[in-house]
Amino acid sequence: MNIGYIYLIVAAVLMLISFIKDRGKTKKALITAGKVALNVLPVLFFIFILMGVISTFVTKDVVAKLLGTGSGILGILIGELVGALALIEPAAVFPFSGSLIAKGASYGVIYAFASTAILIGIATLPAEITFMGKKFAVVRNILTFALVFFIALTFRYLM
Amino acid sequence: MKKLIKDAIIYVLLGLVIWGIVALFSFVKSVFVAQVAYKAFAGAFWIIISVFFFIGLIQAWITPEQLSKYLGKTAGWKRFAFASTVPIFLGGSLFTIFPLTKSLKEKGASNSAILAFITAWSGKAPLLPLEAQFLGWRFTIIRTLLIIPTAIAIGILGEIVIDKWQRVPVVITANKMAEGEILIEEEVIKELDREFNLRETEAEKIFSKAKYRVEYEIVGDILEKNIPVKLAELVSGCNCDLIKLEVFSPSLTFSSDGKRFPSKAKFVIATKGYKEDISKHLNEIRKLLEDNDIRIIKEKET
Repeated sequence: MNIGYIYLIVAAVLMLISFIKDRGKTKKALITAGKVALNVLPVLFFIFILMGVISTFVTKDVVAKLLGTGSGILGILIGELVGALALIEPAAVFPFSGSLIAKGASYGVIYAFASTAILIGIATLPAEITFMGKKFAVVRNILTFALVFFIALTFRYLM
Repeated sequence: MKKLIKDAIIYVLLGLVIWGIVALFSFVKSVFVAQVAYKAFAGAFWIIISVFFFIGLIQAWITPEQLSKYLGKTAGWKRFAFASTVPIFLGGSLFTIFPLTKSLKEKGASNSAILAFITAWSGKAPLLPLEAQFLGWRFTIIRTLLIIPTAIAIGILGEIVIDKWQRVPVVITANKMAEGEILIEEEVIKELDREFNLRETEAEKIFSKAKYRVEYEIVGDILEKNIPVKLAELVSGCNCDLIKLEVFSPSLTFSSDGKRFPSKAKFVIATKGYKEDISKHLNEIRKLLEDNDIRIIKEKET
């Protein structure tokens, strides 16, 4: 059985409980779900095509060499930089990472990529500076980058 | 909504263009690309759909206002523990988180709690099914569990760095007046008290090392107009420190006759440099106080 059905059943049950407890909130939840769907589905469409392109044209050797276990510090830095620069929805990070894993990228590199993709954003930096101040933004982004780097280095001992 | 649709069209077009370019060069390869894309999409379709519902439910039932209210009420390590775990369950993107953390900051949350909050929020519990589908449960669980120590570390280290950088050691001791007569929220004073008092010893050090010090006594709506924070901001830009800020009482409005009594405070501006270096900044401080209708009742070099 497709594991997706189990999640769907869980979602349906939660929706039902939500509906019994509070109709207004459930309506709000449905509207948000619709908006998120409209936001994320086109990005996923793009990402899935990109995944297709990667699996067709990029050879395993290249990915393994740049992002594989042997790539060491350089691979992690590439992963982190791409994650920080990429304008990518969190929901699209994981499918994309999955296709890189299939091509031989190491889990440490993928951890680095996924973490910085969610936590560091060149695109969100102006917003962060406006809301939280320059010092805060600089300290947070650099510190996150550094910490993710060290965790990524030891990640393969955890996997 | 308009922007949402525009973005959607751009992404779909971008995908089609990439696929079109592939098709232009090799039809067989483009079929292969489409196959991979379809397989990945079909395999995850129901997971993606249920994730949308999870995100919707979380955003409807846990509002940012609730969270910031809760964070404002709890104190010390409890607040920190909360900030480094609970946001894991939230959805949303970086763009949505900063307005929320700004309001947390205004409510008196420390930098460490806010840094932990942002970091922990990268856990993305509603997306877990999607993450597990593409990267496996082992990776998903390890990454999610790692969030907690990472959030704590970034919170603690970040606050140390930001504090060193900002140099605003301020001590506030607010004395509470007769209860029931106080209209200004008591919580606000307590917040200031806790956040700033930690730096008392540091303030003593700066006071003894300073070459030039000026002591001020002021009267007016000090807490209501957020004067401590405004002063701290002003001073952080110059080569001097704001220390030993004490607010003696919140402004009082007596419910019986509506009479107002302004609050009183004193603080010291200290510098390691000479008098001439900070005279310009002292003028700025006087102007700030004047603009906010705060009266200076004493200004004394010590």
